[in-house]
Amino acid sequence: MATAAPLIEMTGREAQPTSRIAFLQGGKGGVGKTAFATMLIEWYRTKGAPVALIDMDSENKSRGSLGHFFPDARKVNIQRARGLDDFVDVLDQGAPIVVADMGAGAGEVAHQWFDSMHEQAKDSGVAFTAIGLVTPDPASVSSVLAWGNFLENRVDYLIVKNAISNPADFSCWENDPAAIEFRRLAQPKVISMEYRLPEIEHEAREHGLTLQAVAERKTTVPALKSTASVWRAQAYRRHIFTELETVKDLLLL
Amino acid sequence: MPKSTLFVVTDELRCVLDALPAIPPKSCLDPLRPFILHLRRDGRTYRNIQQILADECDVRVHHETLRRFIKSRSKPRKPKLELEFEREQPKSSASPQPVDQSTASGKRLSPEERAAQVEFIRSLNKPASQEQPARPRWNLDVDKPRTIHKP
Repeated sequence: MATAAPLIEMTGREAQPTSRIAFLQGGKGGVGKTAFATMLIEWYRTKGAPVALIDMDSENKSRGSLGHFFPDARKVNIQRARGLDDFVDVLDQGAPIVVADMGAGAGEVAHQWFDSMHEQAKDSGVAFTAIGLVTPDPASVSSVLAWGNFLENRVDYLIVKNAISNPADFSCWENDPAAIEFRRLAQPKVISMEYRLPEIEHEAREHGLTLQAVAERKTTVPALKSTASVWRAQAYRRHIFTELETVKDLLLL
Repeated sequence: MPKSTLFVVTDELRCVLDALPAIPPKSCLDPLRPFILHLRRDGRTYRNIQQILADECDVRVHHETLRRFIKSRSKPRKPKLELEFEREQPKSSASPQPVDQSTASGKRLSPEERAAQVEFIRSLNKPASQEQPARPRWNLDVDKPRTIHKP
């Protein structure tokens, strides 16, 4: 049986990418990586953009992982010699956009993989968007800066200011000299994710429900069926979708 | 005795099968099938999908054509008849079947399907046209004293 031709184009560097990998930087846990990933995926799907999902978060419990929300997410263990080669495998199946949720401890693996594979990927028209989440916790800022230190200018950066408290104080991200220098050199695009009521977010996560499911009343969970919860979910989606529209050039082709 | 769905194929017939050209798409909508089905499963109407195809993919079809296409393409297909080749050794049922890794976790797209998807995604990245100007925001100057207007 003849093998199908690879779908990743090998036509040299192009001005416009033919594939994009948007990956959530691992590192600091509990900053809302998976929560943002679910909303990003909903945004793609609402637009009708086909997207393949990779769940690389090996530390996240089954209830908090990407696969819990999206059963079609491909679970990958990155603690192997082939590192992030699953990116290539998924692209080779034809998916023009891949969303990968990396877990804590992915830094070293990603570092090695980018050093050895990034040039080939770039030559094949693959663009990368590194998504970092910052919270009021300075450790989240350190994590984003550490990733930026080794990814350098090989990726586009999207920073999400996740308000995990109300009000949220991002003074570390705003004022830390290293963060200022990172913003000046890497020129990341920055969006914000508004504060979400824990009773909605935790309950939805517990039941593997996306905000879309809550917003469209596709749940039997009592706490998420109330009109207030539905309206909240709709508002959260509307807000983050509006934010994502402002950075769509980093997320589409 | 072969199973009812198992056909024994001779070497000559196998050569014929191998030489047959791939079946061309029956409809211009075929390359967009996953996209169209996705839109439909999202709850969009045929007319809505018709508009999206016209605007974003430059494909113009009647909504009735679209309806027939979706009806026929979303039916579960009969499984393909299994062919047994004469010279192949019979396989033990316990032995693992070779799995094409490219399709194990999802359907592999054809280059045409992928090109259509890339084109569609690029069309999403175009700036929105003719946005409605926002209504100017009304601001209340709380320091200004109110006045009663007399006609």
